[in-house]
Amino acid sequence: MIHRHPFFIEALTALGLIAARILLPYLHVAPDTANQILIWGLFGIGFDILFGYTGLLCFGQSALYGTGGFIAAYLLINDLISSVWLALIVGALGAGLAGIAVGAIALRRTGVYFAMITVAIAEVFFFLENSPLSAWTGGENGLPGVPTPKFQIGAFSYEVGTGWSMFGFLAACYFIAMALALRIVRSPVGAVLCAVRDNPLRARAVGHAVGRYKLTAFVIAAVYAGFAGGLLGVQQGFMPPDAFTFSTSGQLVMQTAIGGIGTLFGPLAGAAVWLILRDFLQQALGFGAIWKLVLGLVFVLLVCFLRRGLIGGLQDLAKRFVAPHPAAAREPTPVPAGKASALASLGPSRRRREASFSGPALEARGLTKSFGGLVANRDIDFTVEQGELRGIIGPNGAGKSTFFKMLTCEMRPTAGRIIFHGRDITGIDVAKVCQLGLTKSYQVNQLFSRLTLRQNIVIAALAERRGAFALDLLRRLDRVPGLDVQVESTLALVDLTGRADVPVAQLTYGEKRRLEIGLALASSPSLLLLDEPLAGMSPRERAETVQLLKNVRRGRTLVVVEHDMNALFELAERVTVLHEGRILAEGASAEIQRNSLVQEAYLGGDVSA
Amino acid sequence: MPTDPEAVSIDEIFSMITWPNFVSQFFNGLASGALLALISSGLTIIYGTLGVLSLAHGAMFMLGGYAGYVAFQATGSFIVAVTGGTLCLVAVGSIIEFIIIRRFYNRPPEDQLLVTFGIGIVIVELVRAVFGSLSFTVPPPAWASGTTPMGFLIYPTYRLVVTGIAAAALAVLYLVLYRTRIGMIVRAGIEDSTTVRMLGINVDRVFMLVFGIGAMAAGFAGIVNAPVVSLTPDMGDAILVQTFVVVVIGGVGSFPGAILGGLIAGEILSLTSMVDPAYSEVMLFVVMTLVLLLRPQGLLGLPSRD
Amino acid sequence: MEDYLRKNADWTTATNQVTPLGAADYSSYLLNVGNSGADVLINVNWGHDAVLSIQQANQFGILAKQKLVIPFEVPFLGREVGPELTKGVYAATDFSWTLEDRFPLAKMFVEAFQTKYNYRPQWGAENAYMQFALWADAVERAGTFYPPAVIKAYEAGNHNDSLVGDVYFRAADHQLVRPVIIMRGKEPGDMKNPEDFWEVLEVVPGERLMQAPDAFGCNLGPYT
Repeated sequence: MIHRHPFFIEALTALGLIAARILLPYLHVAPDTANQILIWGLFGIGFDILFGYTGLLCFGQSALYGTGGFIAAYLLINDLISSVWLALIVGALGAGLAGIAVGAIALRRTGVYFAMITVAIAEVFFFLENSPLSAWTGGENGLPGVPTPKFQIGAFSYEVGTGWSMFGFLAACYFIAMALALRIVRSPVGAVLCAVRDNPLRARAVGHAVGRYKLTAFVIAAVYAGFAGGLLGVQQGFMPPDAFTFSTSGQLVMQTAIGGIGTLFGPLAGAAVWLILRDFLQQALGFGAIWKLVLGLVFVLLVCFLRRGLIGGLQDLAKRFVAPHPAAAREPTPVPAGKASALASLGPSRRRREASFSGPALEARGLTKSFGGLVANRDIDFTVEQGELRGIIGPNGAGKSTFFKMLTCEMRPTAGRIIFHGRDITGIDVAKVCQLGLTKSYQVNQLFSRLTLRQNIVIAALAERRGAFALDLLRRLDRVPGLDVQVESTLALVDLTGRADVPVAQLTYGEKRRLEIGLALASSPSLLLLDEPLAGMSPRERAETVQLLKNVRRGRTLVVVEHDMNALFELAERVTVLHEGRILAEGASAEIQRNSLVQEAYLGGDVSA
Repeated sequence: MPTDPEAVSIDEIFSMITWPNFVSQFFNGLASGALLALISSGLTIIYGTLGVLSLAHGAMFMLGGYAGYVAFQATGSFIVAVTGGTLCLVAVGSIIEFIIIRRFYNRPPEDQLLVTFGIGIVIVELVRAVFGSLSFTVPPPAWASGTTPMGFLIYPTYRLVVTGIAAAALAVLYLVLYRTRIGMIVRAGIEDSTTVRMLGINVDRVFMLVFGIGAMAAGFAGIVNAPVVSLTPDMGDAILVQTFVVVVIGGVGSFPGAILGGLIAGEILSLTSMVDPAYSEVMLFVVMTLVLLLRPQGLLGLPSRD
Repeated sequence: MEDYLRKNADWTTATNQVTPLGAADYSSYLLNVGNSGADVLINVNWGHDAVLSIQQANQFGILAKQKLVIPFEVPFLGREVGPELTKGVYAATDFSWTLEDRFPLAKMFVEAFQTKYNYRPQWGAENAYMQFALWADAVERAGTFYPPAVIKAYEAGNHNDSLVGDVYFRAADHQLVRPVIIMRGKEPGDMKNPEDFWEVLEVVPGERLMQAPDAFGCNLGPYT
C-alpha cells in the first residue's frame, strides 16, 4: 500500500468516483449497471476484510445482506422510519447483530468447515425469509415500494431519483464506506487480523484473543453486507428475496477473487468486470446465456494463475518498477554486553507493577500428559526460581515438547497443576498466559510470513500494549502509546534494527531465528521458554545467539530446551534431564555432565568429551 | 389481507403423519440415503486422500446424469446408460485432477475451495449451454418400472430398485477400498500421504485415480437417480450441500461414516418432510451444526482431523 | 377455483395438498392424494415443480386412477413430461402454436419464430412478443415515451387484434382482458409433429372470466 500522503488512497477514490460519473455514460454503461457495481463493491468491502485480511472464506454473506436489506425495507415501507439514511443504518446494525449470532456458531470451526457452516446458515436464512417469516418479508415476492432518499436542508430539498442521480448517492455511500474500511485496516485491529490470517497459532501465542478478533471481522463484514442490502432495496425500489440465495454469496466470492482478494477495491473491480462483461457478452456479442460460462472460465483461470486477482496483479506489476528496498544484506554484528543490558528492560510493562512476588517463577506439580495409552509426561515436579536460567535436556522422545506445550497452556495436562508467579494457570488460554508474562519461542519458526520483520514485532507488541483484545478500529497504528518504543527496543535487543523492513521471506535462517526469539520478547515476558533456540544454526550463529540469551536473561527467568550440550552447559546454571517422560536428574550443570545415569540415557558415554 | 395460501394448519400437518405415509417415507429415506451415501463416499475419499473439498462434486452428480442420458438416447439401454455415465465421469474426474487440482495441493484450503467452486460453475454452465435449461427424462428399465403394491400403499418399483443398486455400488466400492492393493494405498493416503509418497508409490497416479473414483461415485448416483427426478443443470446444487452435511455427520475420510451419515441424512430429510417439507433441509442443517459443535470429528471420524 | 367448482358444479374437495416451492420429492403429498379417493387431480404447480409432480404422480400410479387437470399449463410441459403423461389431460393456457390456424397474426408469429429459433413458440414467447407490441402501440398513440402519458394511452382501452384475437386493457386495474385457451392432450399416435402435444378445444373470451377489479385489493397509486 502506498503511504506517501495520509489520505492518498481516499483522494484517489473520490477522484475515481467522480471520473466514473463523467466517463461511464460515454462508454455506454447503463446507470443501473453502474449503480449495481457500486452496491456490490460496497458489499464486498466487508467481505474482503473478512476473507482477504482475516483469511476466513465465508459463503454466507447473502444471509446478512438480505437481513439488512429486509429490515431497512420493512421499516421504510411500513412508515416506521421516514428517513432513508436512518433505516439503512438500522438495517446495517440489525445485520451486525445477526452477524454476532451467526459468527458465534460458525467461527467455532476453521477453514473448510467454517466455509460450509456458512453455506448451511445462508440456506437457513433463505428458508426463513421464504416460509416462516413471509408475513414480514413478503415470502417469494419480496417487499415492493422502497422509497428513495430525500435530503432536506432548511427550505432546500432534493429527492434522489433513479439512474445517474442514484449514482451520486451510492457513490457517496461507497466513499464513506471505503474511507471507514481504510481506517479499519490501518488500525491495530487491522494489523491483528492480518496476523490471524498468516499464523493464527502465533497470533494467539503472542497474546491476542484470536477468537474475538475473528468475530470482529465477521461482524464488520455483516454490517457492510447489511448496509449494501439496504442500498439494494433503495436502488431497485424493491427488496428482492434472491438477495438471500446462495448464488448471491457465490457471485460475491467470485467477483472478489476476480478483482483481487485483500485489496479492498477488489470487489468493486470484480463487480465491474462481472457486470459490464455480462452486459457486453449478451448485448454486443449476442452470447445469450453463455455469459456465465465465460465468466466462470475467467474466474477459474484467475484463481489458477493470477492468485491476487486483477488489482493484485497490477500491484505486483507496479512493484517491479519501483526501486528495490534499500535494506541490503548486512552482516549482523553481535550485541556488545554493555549495550544490551540497558536494552534488556523493554519499556514500562504493565506486568512490572505486579512483580512483587518473591516465590518461584514457575512450578509444575505432578504434571502428567497421556495420549490414550501413551504417557508422554509422567508426574513431573518442576520448579524454577525467578531470575534463573534453567536448561532442559533429554534424548528424543523424552517428552520435552509436550512438557513445554503444557507449560504454555497450548495443551491441557491430563493431571497436575502449573503455578506461575503464585497463580494457578493450569488449562487457561494461551493468549491469557502470554498476557500474564509467560511466552515461548518455537523450535520451528512460527512467524507471520507475509509481513515484514518490523510488522512481526509490531503484532506481538500490540498485544503487550493493548491487552488481549481492544476494539480500537479507528485508531491509527502509529498512535498506539508506547508501541514504537517497545518495537524499537525489541529490535535492538535481537539486533535486527537494520533489517527491520525486510519481508520475512527474504531473511536468512539465522535472522528468522532471532526474529522468533524477538517475537517472544516483544510481549515483555517475565518467564521465557525457548524450544531449541539454536536449532539449525551455524557455529558462529550459535555463539551469537548464546550471547543474545545471556543479555536477554537479565531481569527475566529463562527455561531453555536444547540438544547442543556445550551451549546449554555454558548458559544454564541448573539443568533438568527428562527421560521417558520423567525427570531423570536435576542439578548444577557440572553435576549433570558427570551423572552416569544421564550418560547412559543418552547412550553416548561421557557427554563433556 | 387475504389468508396466506401457503399456511399449513395443524390439522393438515397431523393428517400427514399416517402409517402409509411413514412407511413410504421410510423407504424414500432409504433410497435417497443410499444414494447420498454413495455420493458422499466419493466426496469423503477425495477429501480424505487429497485434502481437497471438491465444491464441484454436485456438478459431477449432475454430469453423470446427463452423460447417462446421452448414452441412453444413443442406445436405448439403461445398462449402457449407467455404464456410459459412470465411465465418462471417471475420465472427467481424472482429467480435472490432472489439469487443475494437482496444482493446488500446496495452496491454502481457501484456494482449493475457490477453484473447485469455479469448476463446478463452469461444468453446470457448459451443460446448460449444450442441453438448455429444460429437463430431460430417462425412463427406468422395463423390469424396474411400474408400481409395487405394499399392503396399504402403492410404491414405485424403481425407488426400491435404486436402494438395491446403490447398496450394490457401495459394496463394490468397499471391496475396492478394503480388498485391493490400490484401495489400501488410497486408505493409507487418507491417513498420511507423505509417508505413502516416501514409500516410492506413484502418488500422482493414485491421486488422479482417487479423484476419478470419487467423481464416478457421484456420477453413478446421478444417472441411477435420473428416472426418479428429471435431469436439470441445477440438480447438483442441493446435492452438494447435503453431501457435505453427510460427510460432516459421518466423519471426514471415513467410508463407513459416509454410509451411516448418508442413511441418517436420508431418513432425516424424508421423515421431516412427512411433517412439513419446508423444514426438512433446515432440520438437516441443524443436525449438522450440532454435530460440528459437539462431536467435531463426526460419528465415525478420527479426532485428529481439523 | 375450489369455491367455483363447489358452487357451480357440486364438486367436493377430497384433499388439498400444499407443496412448498421447489420441492423435489412429492411422495407424501401424492400418497395422501392417492388415498383420498378423488376422481380428479387438479395440479396447480409451476415450472419444474409441475414437471416433477406430474412425473411422480405417474410413478405412484395415481394418474392411472385419477384424471389430471392442469389449470395453468407451463411452457414446454408436453416436451418435458412426454405425451404419454399429457394425453387426455385438460389444460388451460395462454397460447398454443396450433392457433395459427385460427388467427392470421399467430400464423405470422409462429412462422417467423420457427425460422429464427428452429422450434415453435410457447406462450412465454407469445406473451413477451404481444406485450411488447401492445406497449409499442400505446407509445405510438401517446406520441411519447413518458410513462404517465403511455399509461393513459393504455387506459384508453383500445381494442387490438393480437395473436389470440381481440384484447384490450382494463383501466380500473390495468389488467389485459384476453381469451383463455382450453386444450386437451393428444394421443401420441395423433401427433402430427414432435411439438403437437395439445389439441385446442375452445378459445374462451376473457371478459366473463376476469375477477372484479378490486378482488385482490388492487389500489392504483398516482401516475408518478
